[in-house]
Amino acid sequence: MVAALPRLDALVRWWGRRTIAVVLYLVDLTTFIIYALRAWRGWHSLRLRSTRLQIVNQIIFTGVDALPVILLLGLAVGISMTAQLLNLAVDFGTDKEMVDLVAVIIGMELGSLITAIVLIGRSGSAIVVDLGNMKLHREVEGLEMVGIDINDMIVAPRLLGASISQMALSVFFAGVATFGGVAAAGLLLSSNYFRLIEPLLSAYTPAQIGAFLIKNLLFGLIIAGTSCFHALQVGVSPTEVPQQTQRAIVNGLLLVFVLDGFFALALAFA
Amino acid sequence: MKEGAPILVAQGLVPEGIGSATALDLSVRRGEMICMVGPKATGKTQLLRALAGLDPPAAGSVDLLGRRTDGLDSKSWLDLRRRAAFISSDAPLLSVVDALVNVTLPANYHAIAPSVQVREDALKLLERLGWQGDLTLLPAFLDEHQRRLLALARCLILKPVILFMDEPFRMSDVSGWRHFGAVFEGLRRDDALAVLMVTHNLPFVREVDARVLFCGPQGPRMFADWREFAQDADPVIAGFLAESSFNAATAV
Repeated sequence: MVAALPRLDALVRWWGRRTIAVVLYLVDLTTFIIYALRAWRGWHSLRLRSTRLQIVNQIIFTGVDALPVILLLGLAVGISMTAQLLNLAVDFGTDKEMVDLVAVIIGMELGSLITAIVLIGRSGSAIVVDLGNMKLHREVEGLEMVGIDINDMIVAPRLLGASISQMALSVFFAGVATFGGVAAAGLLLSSNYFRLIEPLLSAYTPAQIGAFLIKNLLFGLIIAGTSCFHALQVGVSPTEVPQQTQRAIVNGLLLVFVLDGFFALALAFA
Repeated sequence: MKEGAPILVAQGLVPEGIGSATALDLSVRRGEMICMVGPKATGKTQLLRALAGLDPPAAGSVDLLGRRTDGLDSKSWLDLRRRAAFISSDAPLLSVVDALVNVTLPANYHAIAPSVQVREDALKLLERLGWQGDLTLLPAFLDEHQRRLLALARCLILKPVILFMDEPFRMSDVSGWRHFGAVFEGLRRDDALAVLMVTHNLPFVREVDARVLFCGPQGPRMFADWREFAQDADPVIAGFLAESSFNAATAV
C-alpha cells in the first residue's frame, strides 16, 4: 500500500503535465488561427493575384478535386446506412421520425465527419508537406525578408480555402447520402420510400442549417489550422516533415471529433 | 532621417551566442560597402543578422533607418524589411512560382505599382543586373548564379536603402563574383545603396572599394580599406590571410 503511493503520485503528476500540455497546445493553436485571420487584409489581399490564386487553388485542390471521392462515399453511405436505417425504422416510426433520423444522423453528423476525415487525410497532409518543405528550405524566411506577412499570404488563404471547401463538400455529401439513400431504398427495397423525398427537403430548420454551416466552417479552420501550425513547426531536419504531418493528422482528427461532440450536446440542450 | 545621416548605427553591439569580449561600434551611410571577413565560427553571420535586426543582440543596440531594432512589433519589423533587405547564404526563392513571379511578388504584395508596371520594372531591373536565362522556369531548373541574381532582384525591386548579404558568392566562379562585384558597384554609385556582406572571397574584398570588418577570436575590428587591413600587424590577421593563400607581400 505504502509502496503504491509513489506510483500513484507519479501517475497524477504525469496526468497533470499532459493536461497542461493539451491546454497549452489548444491555446497556441487558437492564437495561431486568430493571428492568421487577423493578418488577412481582406479585399486588399484578394486584389493580389498570387494570394487570390492561393485561395482558388486551395478550393480547387481541397474542394473540387475531392468531389468524386465525396460523391462515391456519399453514395456508399446512402446505400449502406440510409437505406438500412429506413428499413429498420419503418416498423416503429412515423415518416417524420424516419426523415428526422436520416437528416440528423446521416446528413448533419456523418456528412460533416466523413467530409472532415477525407479533407484531413487528403488536404491536411498535403498542406503540412507543402508548407513544411517551404519552411525547411527557408522559403518562408525568404518571403519574410522582403516584408511579406506569411500569415496573410500563406496561412489565411489556406484557412479560408479549406473552410469554404469543407462547408460546400459537407452539404454535397449530406445531399448525396440522404437523398441517394432514400432513392436507393426506393429502388432496392420498396418504391414506397420515394414518398420520403419531399418531407426530407423540408426536414432541416434554418437553425439546424446555420449550426451545420458554422460547425463545418470551424472544421475547415481546424483542419487547415492544425496543418499550417504543424508545418511551421518544422525546423532544419527533413525528418520533421513526416513527424509534423502525423501530428497534424492525429490532432486534427481528435479536435474535429471533440468539436462535433460539443456541437451535438449544444444542439441537444438548445 | 536627415540627408547624409547614418542609416545604420550599432553601439556596444554583441550578438547573441557569441562569447566575444569586444563590442562593436559601427556607423554606415548610404552608398557605403562593408565586407565582413574572418576565420570560420567567429560569429560573422550572427553579427550580420544582429545588424540587420533579425536577431536581438545580447548587448548593445542597433538603430536601422532611424528605428531601434529590438522591441519592434511584427508589423514594424515587416515594414523595415522592405527598406533593409537581407539575403541569407541559401538565397531561398519560392519554389512553386517561376523566376519572374519570384521577382515581382514582393512589389505586387506591397502594391507599390500596378502589376503591369511592376512586370516592366522587374524586366528592366533584371536586364540591369545582367540576367541571362528563361524567366518562365521554376527556380529548381536554374543554376546557382541565376538563383542568386533573382534573390537580389527580388529585394531590389522594393528599392531598399541597405542590403545585407550572407556569403553572396558561395558557389560562384570567378566570372560570377566579378559580375556581382560590378553590379554592387553600380548599385552603390547610382542608387546610393549601402551594402554589408559576409564573405570568404578575399580577392573580391581586395578589388572593391569597401571597409573591412574583421571578425576574429578577439571580436570584431574595423578597417578603413583592404590596404589597412592587410598591412595590420596583428598576427591573427596575418595567420588568417596566410590560411587564405594571401601573405603580407601579395595581399596589398
